[in-house]
Amino acid sequence: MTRAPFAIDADALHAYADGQLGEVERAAVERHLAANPDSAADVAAWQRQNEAMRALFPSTAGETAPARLSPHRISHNQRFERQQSLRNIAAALVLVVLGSGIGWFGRDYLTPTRAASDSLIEAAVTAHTLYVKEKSRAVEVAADAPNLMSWLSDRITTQIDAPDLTADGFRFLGGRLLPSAPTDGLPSPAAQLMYENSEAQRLTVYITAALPDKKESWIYRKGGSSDAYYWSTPTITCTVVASVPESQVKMLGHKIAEQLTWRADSTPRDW
Amino acid sequence: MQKFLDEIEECVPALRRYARALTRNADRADDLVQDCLERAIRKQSLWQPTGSLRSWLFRILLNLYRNELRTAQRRGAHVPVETLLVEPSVAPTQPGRIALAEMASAIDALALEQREALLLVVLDGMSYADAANSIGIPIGTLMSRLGRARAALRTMTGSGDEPRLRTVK
Repeated sequence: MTRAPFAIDADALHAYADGQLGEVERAAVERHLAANPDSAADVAAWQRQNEAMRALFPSTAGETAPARLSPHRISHNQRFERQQSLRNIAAALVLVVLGSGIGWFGRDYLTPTRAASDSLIEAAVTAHTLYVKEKSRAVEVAADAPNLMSWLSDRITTQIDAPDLTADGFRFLGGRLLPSAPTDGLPSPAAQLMYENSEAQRLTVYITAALPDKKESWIYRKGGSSDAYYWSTPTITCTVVASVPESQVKMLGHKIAEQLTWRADSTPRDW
Repeated sequence: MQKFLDEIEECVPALRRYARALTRNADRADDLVQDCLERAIRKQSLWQPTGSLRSWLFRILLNLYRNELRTAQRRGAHVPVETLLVEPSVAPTQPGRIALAEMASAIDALALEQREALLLVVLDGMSYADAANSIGIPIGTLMSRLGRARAALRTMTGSGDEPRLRTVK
């Protein structure tokens, strides 16, 4: 409120009431008020208003401010929060890197397990469908050929004997060697054994060496014309394919599993 | 940094007083002050050391308060009467003294732009230049708001009538 020739206007009166004038201006306003009762009344009213407002909302200088209003504390908390969020970002980055690494290096162990059983079942069913139709050339090597089973055992690098299913009416016809599905990590090749009962129903057993994960699993898959019963053990995988009722496929599957795994790991199994 | 925080700390009582006058609620006032301090400390790089730190803090407080009011208006919220901070600790014994409760409701009835200007100048004793800067208006606008606020208060509290006038020295 400094102006060249100091004029006593409304602004100057407000400034006077609010104590914002210097000594010279204040004296000038006081002289003006002494001569102008109307202005004096205004200023006095404003001063009473100021007084009332200050009484209504007293200074808080005497109060102890709560800790949450301490600038030092707020600043400290903000620094702490920043560090905390940096730490969280760092931790998240470590997790992303770890997760990616596990995913990348573990991809061979994670994905193929289920795909392997699916591929093997599919290959077994395809081979079954292809060869059961053959009347006279159903098998590559007949059951009575010498060294059939030792040859197959050598080629699939797993010791096997042809399971005996005569008690259930199935006669062993013979076997053949097959390439297995061209998927990474699948055991190859495969041995297919074929059986036939008196009603000319045929059953095939598709055998490979164990999968890399050597896990035990059992899968029963219904198909259009024939069902497949697959299992894997630490020593072998086997898929039984036949066009007989499910209960019979399972029963035969258990008998085959018992004979094959007994032969393979010398441990009798309890079904 | 420490000096900056110390300077802010010196302003806390004035900020609390002004916030209480605006909100009429001690808890809401402290919430407002806390928001203001947090923002100021986080954005300290935005403060120009050429200006007054005090008026910068009040500008932040006012902006927060206006935002809060706009949000409250959208929600249709209002301040319940019993939470108002009206404590006429001093009885109006002197003639010419304005009854505090009457004054409180008169201040409430003022337009926001008049109320924030008047309270800032009166309670904090801030210079007109700093007050105009805090509110974000030219000084002439501040003066006309002060004039209108004071005239309105006079009408509402009846403090302009004759008998009281005579008590002025």
